[in-house]
Amino acid sequence: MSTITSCLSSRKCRIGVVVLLFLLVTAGGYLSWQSTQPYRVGVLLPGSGDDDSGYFETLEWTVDGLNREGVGRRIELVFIDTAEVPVMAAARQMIGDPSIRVVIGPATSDEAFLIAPDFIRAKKLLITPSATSGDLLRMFSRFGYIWRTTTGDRAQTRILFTILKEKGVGSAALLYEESTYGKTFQDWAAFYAIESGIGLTATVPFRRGGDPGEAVAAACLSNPEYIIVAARGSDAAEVIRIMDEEDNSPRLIFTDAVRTGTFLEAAGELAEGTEGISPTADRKTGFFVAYKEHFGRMPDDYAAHTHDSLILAVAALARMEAVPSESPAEAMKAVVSGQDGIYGWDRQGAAAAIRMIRSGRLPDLTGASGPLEYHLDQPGEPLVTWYVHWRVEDLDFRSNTYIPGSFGVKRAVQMPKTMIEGEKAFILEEGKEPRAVLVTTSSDWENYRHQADVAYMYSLLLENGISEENIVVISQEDVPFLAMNPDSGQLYHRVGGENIYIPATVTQNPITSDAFVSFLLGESSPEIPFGLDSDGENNLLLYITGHGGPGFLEFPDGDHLTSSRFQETLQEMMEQERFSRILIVVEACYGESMGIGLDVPGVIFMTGASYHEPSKGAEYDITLRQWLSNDFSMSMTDIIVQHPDQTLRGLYEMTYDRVSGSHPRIIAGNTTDLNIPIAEFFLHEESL
Amino acid sequence: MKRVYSSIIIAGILICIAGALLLFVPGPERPVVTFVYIGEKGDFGYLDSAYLGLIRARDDIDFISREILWDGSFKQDPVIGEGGKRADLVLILGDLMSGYAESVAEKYPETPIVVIDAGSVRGDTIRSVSFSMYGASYLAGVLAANQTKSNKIGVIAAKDAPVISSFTDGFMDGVYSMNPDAEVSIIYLADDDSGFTMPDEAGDLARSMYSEGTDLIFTVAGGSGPGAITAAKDLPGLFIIGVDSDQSELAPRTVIASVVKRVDRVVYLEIDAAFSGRLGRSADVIGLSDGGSALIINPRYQDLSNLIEDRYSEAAEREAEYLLGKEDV
Repeated sequence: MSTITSCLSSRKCRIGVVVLLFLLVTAGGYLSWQSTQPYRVGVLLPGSGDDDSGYFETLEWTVDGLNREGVGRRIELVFIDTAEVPVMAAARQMIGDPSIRVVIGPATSDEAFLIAPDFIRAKKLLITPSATSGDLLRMFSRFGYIWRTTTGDRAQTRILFTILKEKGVGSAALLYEESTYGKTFQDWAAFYAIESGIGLTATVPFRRGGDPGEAVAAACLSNPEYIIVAARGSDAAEVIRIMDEEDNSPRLIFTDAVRTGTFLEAAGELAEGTEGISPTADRKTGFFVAYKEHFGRMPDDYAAHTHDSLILAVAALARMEAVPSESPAEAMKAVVSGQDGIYGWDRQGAAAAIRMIRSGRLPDLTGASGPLEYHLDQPGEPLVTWYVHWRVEDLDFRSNTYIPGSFGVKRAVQMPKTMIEGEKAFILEEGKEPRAVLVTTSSDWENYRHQADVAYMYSLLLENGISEENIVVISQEDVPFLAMNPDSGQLYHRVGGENIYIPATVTQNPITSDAFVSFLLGESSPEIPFGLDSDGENNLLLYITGHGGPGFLEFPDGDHLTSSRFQETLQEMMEQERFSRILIVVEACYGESMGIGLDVPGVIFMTGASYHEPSKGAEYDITLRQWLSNDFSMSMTDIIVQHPDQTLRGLYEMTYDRVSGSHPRIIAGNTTDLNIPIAEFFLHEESL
Repeated sequence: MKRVYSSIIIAGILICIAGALLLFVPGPERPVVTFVYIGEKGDFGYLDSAYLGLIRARDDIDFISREILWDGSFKQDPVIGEGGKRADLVLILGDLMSGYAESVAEKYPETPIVVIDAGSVRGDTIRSVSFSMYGASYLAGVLAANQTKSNKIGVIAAKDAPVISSFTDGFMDGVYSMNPDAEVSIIYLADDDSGFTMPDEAGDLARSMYSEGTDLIFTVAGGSGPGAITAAKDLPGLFIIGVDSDQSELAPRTVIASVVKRVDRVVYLEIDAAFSGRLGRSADVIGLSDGGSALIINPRYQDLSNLIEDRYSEAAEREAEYLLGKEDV
């Protein structure tokens, strides 16, 4: 005490103590003020209309529960009803509000594609409960700002095929609406058909809200046992009506968009007995019980996922408060990776978990939809979502079984052995410098990736010592100079990579299939001013990128090159001795369909997608809003760079392993050797 | 002047200390209830009903709930929780955990324990509550006798055991009180607990009974029951009385009513009693008149409600006599 008294008798000491007290009071005041500030969470969801899934009432109920329990700060929702305000305008309002760092929404994938790039640029988290397009996270996950609480519809596609397999079904067709929603099912149907050993007889699109009659007829014509219908309620009802009128035999199974009152109303008695699947809560959490107790009815499909969106949003805000040095994306990644104790999904469990996060710890978060666990290599994509297999009985959706849905293992089906059997002696033949023809059949901005793939292959071959005069590029090369290209005259193959564009095309005219065939047979045409002049001693690489369909490659203006004509052309090239060996690489949807039945000596055919299967993009640029490359081409060229001494067999095996969204194929005639070095097509060592 | 300075500074320090103390003084502690059960929620029946009782009680009585999914071990302590916080009540669900309840009572003699849906359990601090299903089943029997056209009524039961007999006894007495000429045949699926998980066999049995003229079946077989319900959906004119939960959701045109244990109500009442100092220390049996069991009519068949209401008192009286008879035995 005497020390304190003697200290206080000194003027300096007194001033020091006063300053210290001032600082303490100020800091305390700031902390007190800050703790009274709410966690503000933006909401961009519809409060009415077709896309409303009762989001607002679920969020208000969840917030009310958390505020009752207390998480350290009050939680405040800032709603903008996207049924009333256009989603872009609503998104701008949220982005412009500095007090909002996390937004829940939007409801649909179309909306999410529109606003995701702006949220990424603004470094604000966007958590959607119901936008389930497969491409959404493939495009945006690497930034860490776009999250969802329902697994993409890829998982739904997988479950549909699993159900069919369990029923003993041998064949199925897909009927899908032409929209972002239908596209995911189209993208993955063939993949999971192959994985489940079911024959996919057809994939047929129809226009949303239009007459699906022709599409139904086309699907039935392929004679499947089942038709998977990815459509909204009223369209699905129309499909049932047509099937009933025509007395068609295939049975139907529906995707989640059907589970609506609109469907029951529109289909009436015909709905009785229909079946399908929809996302749901993890019933083991007790969410159904709590929800029904509060609202007096069973929850909508996305209620649990809406609830969980809020838990994630507040948990991320608590983490940002605990560790201010982390970016919002890093905070969210930390929140979903916690393992420090498990807490329940309900208000008590969630509030306790959030309080822990606020204190710097990281518990293992659980939601109403199940454990909130995410793919490590695809942040934002949940590992598992529960689905219910329903059936309409007594004009209501009755739950049959509950199924955990995920993407599954990367690929269960191994490479078709017949394609790669037959070990032969490795022979490195001395020969002429390889020749290459690089073709893209498409143009326009949305086909950026095709021209970028060709440009990258061209630069790779040049780097590998193949001379310019031995490479023919056929591409309109319009993309580098289009008005929407912010980097005029440039093309990129990777986000943040170098410009790869080198002017090289021999024609900027749109080419026809006739012109292309003539070129391969050594003849000129109005579109291509000369013909291929290779001879029987050349190894030839023919790399084709563009759009494809079952049994054809698309050329401009609706022109098609059919697989039979293509194979006849190859036969003729062989007879004219235009190659010693030719490696054909097709980067297009349904690529395998161009090579099925091919058996021309010296011809090896590789493609990234099986018959009926779309190929997938590899890297998406949010500024250009375009895919920069394709998965198969990117994987293959990476392997060529990393393993230049590999054989074609090895190249195929490694590419098959690396491509994740489709099934690469290789086809070679019985007499063709696959144990030849890739250098014979991609490298010229003498000139290096 | 120095004194003034010193006084101001000392006052400031005291204010800071008081403020800091206020910040760290904890609020009033909420009581803790630990709920221990076997199985998984989401059964739309027994466990979900118990969970409903728990959350209803939690909304009305402010307490913290802890859930333990019992795996046969003591890995998770039912009394001492995180941070050493002690449970004020342990609720244990199901007869299978009677031994576990005794162990908990031995280890924590100060903590009240309630075992729900179990007979008498040893221990001074343990209360047990069991359900009598006689009364609700009696009403189901009355309903069955009223609805049958063939006078042939079936019962598919899991096994021949006391846990089943209060259902079957009540049901048969109810049938005969309404229609002495009716024929009731009881078939047990197994000699052991496997009878609770044989839906395929229950379906086969339903088809076989139907082929012999049975037009109403009472299923007292837990997880096997839905097998009979699924089969009945394809057998025109066959109706089911379900059990455990309102099973009309499974087949709205087939299941006319369900005999249920009101586990939710019992869970709620026991928690309420514990926190209002009314918790007894004995074994209790509750049935129709206490709201522990009920016959729930499918909304589609609401016109049958009057019949049930008219016979309610009679069923409750008969249940009381039945339980008295059991005690005498």
